Amino acid sequence: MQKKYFVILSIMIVGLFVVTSPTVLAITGEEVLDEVDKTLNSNTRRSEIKMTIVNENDQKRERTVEIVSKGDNKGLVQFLAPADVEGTSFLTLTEDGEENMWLFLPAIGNVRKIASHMRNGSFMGTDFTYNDISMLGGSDYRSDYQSNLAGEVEYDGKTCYLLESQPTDQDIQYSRMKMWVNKANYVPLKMEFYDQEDKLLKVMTNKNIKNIDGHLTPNEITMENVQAGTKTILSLSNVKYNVEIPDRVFTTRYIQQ
Amino acid sequence: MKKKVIVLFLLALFLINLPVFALTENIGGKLEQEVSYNNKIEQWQGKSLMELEYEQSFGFDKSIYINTDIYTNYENEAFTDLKLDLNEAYLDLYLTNTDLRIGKQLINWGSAYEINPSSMTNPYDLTAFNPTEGKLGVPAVKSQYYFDNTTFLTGVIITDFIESPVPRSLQETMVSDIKANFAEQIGSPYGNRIADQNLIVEESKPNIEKLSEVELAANFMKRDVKGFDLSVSYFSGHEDLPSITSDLDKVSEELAYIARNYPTQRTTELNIGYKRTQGFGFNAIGSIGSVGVWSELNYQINEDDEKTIDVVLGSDYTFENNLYTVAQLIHRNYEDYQITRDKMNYLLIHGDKPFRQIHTMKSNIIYDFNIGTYMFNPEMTFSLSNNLNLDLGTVITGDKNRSDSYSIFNMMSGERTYFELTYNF
Repeated sequence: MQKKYFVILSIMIVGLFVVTSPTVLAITGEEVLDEVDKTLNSNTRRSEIKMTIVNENDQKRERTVEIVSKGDNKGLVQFLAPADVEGTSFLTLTEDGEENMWLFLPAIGNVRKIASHMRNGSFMGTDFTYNDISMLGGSDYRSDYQSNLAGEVEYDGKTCYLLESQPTDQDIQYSRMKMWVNKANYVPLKMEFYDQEDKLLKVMTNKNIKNIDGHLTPNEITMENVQAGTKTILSLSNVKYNVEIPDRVFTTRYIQQ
Repeated sequence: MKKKVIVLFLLALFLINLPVFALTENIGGKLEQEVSYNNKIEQWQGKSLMELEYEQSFGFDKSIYINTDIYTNYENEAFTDLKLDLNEAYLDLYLTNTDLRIGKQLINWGSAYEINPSSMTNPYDLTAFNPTEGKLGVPAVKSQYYFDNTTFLTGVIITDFIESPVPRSLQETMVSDIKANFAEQIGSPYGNRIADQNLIVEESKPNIEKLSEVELAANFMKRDVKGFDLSVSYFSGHEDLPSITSDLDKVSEELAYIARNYPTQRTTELNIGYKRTQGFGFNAIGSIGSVGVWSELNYQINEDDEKTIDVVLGSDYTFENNLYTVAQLIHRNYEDYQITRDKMNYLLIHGDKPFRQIHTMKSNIIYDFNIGTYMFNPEMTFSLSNNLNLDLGTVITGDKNRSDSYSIFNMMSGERTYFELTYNF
């Protein structure tokens, strides 16, 4: 009889532990990241982005780019304004996990292959790196980061999954990333990026989220460099999903035409 | 004071004219005011320039592009006449596997940073402040055939000859060096006078209307070969810089004969021209780890079997603080030249970095291993508004008295301090 009570008590204790333990939340960090990628990705996407660069003295400069992406392996950024950078194009193609990048500068009139060190450089004077920008074109956080679910937290009045992520890609300059993902729709609302000394370097926030062609889309993305006191605000317009974009757009031939 | 007034006048003219350029979206360009003080000739120089670009697409398969410069130079304490240069004017046709470009155009080949010896189709304007930016358009038909998205063959036919404009002082140095050499051979007391008065310098340019004088070029490129873009190129045309085409031994003998027998009656010719030449190039660009690397090789042989071998090796890297750096070795060797030329061995170091997010600082250092001198060019670019930039810079050389005509330092206008205001529209 005592043995029977012992078994029941054991099952209750284990059950209570299972129910209350954060390690057994209904979803894992990797699964959340999978859902984030599914939410942000589409077959094709085309958008126009106004980039406002704000320096530590609050001086502002504006640039306009068009970003076109297909799946998570083809991306093209073309500068539309101002005049001195108009026509500059940046092509990213990923094949078998290898990312290749080419830059076309109208002043040089030639397509130049660029090495992976550029990925961590400032994207045309903004607070975004080339790598950050390529994530906007077609998110693939799952293959670049290893994530753990740290718990559920409130952010901006919404319940969010908090992910603690470490880069698996050696070319990424950040030592780790924290991501606040809206539990209701898997849209990341905030990300923190830490430098190699584990100090907070940048904070990215997604605002003004709209449903466009069935895709939840942040229409205002801000990247703030907290160490430098600078920030870049991206304002999206003319966002279109699943439009026909021929493969020839993602070629070095196209970007120099 | 007079100079300050001129500078202020130019600036005022520049700024007053800005609103005029509220133009259609097909027209763009820039207004530029350069002012510099040349330490070598101890003079102020300047350039007021308006560049106009017109671009028009006709559907997805045709477009036209025109680029012109209207400018006046300030030199020798006076403005030159207003000049107009048509830099580029071409029609693009995009066919299924072929892109055609017909008209005056720039053709840019090569993988090295700014200095591309295998890109032989277009001459450089050596009178420009920075000749590496002074590439001149040539009238040509260019056809690019794509085997697939990563492999293509380019063929070019150039329909007219355009030479590199050279500073007058360099031309004079070249001729006076030759005359001095003859004078030495003839010997005093007549040498200098004979070389000066009895030698007539005749310059001739290729007549490209003759089929044998037509210039041709080809380039075969394969992208993404184990992470590298590779290309080979060929050029058959003319040298961009003038050189002595006469047999110097014969001219020397004739001058000596004249000096002995007819010092006041006869003359002889020294011919200067643009020799027919062929170039064979190879380019590779890719990365090792996260560091960008490239090489550019070019072998050139002219009609007199004079050979020029260029080897450029370089790499680039961006640091976490956004400092972009380039290190490049440039080697040039001359073989079998009628007039012996020294080898060139340069190291080029470039760095640029944004500061206060919207401005940029950069510097170029070129070090000459052979003579141990250098050129240092720091420059700051201030972004005054979205479209208005101010460049401030200086060029410092380690040996400003060097007179070698072929020295890269001489070709880069010598020591100077400059500012440049640019409005893009």
